Amino acid sequence: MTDRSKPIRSESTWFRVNGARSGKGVVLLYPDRLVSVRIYAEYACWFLMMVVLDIVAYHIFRDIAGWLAPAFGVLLGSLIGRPVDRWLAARMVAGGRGKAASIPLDLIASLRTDRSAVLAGLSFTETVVVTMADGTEYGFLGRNGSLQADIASALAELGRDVRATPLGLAVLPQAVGNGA
Amino acid sequence: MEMAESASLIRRESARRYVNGRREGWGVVLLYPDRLASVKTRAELWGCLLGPAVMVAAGWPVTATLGAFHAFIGVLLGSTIGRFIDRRRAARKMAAGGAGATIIPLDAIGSMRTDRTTRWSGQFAVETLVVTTADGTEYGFCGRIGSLQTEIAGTLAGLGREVRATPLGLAVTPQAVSSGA
Repeated sequence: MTDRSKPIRSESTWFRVNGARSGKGVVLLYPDRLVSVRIYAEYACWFLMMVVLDIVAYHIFRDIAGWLAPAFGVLLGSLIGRPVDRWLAARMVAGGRGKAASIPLDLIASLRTDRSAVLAGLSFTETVVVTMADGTEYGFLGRNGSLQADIASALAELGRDVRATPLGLAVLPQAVGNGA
Repeated sequence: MEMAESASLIRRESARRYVNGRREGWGVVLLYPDRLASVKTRAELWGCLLGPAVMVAAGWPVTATLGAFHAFIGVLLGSTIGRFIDRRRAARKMAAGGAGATIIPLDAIGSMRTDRTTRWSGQFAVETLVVTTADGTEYGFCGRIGSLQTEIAGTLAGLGREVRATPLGLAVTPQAVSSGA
């Protein structure tokens, strides 16, 4: 039996609701729902690592390492902060605390990924867009990898029929019993 | 002909290629409307090697003590630029005929799944897109491939194929063979 209290997957992301920015945090996929938790521990890690690296740079090189310390602070802060965010978010959901919004998988009508190029095509950003039956669009911007396919698999596990279309993945409406 | 080939390219991603679980080297996977192509390239590897050398050499007169910092930034910059060059070169190679490239016709794909390997108690993940063809061969593409799996599924749907999600990934329904009746 599937443990519904444990997330299948969690990803650090920026949230969008109907295209409008709606904060930063973690999206967690559970067997029956998606949960978005607003959390900013990553920014605290950025700041902490910038301070730590400036102190280290000062003691080793007798000089504040100019732009290098802040740049490395952000890099290291992200590396450490994202797992911290994910760990904290899972605990917050388990404890029923924090700013969490739940999206039942049953209400999802379609999934797609929007891609946009940055730095003249050197890199790309991807936004997984989850459209609900009532038309609301939830966007998750970040390195979400195969999150879209994982949500589709979770829906298939729930017995829903998810099919690929040229525009993304469509969740077929559930058949309603005729009571016969 | 060359123009048409490059215009029809839907997506290209740097990835390490595996065939039936065996590592086959670095390269670029390209998605066309009717096929997947895998081209071996090495600019990213060269970028990783040359980037630190260039950065350290460039910064040496000013910041001699920061060699390690510069080397790390060199790896990041070198691999990013190398990946960009790889993707361009692979597309050009395909436009020029695709000699030496591995071609997987989309019609031959039976299923797709993404294998996730986690590191450091699940905090970091490495993803491999595994494409299984009708003859059972498994082609793996490991790297930052993002939504490539669903993009292939969308392309297959565009070709009129039925692709369904299953708990284990995406399954392509075999094409009905006409009975000739």
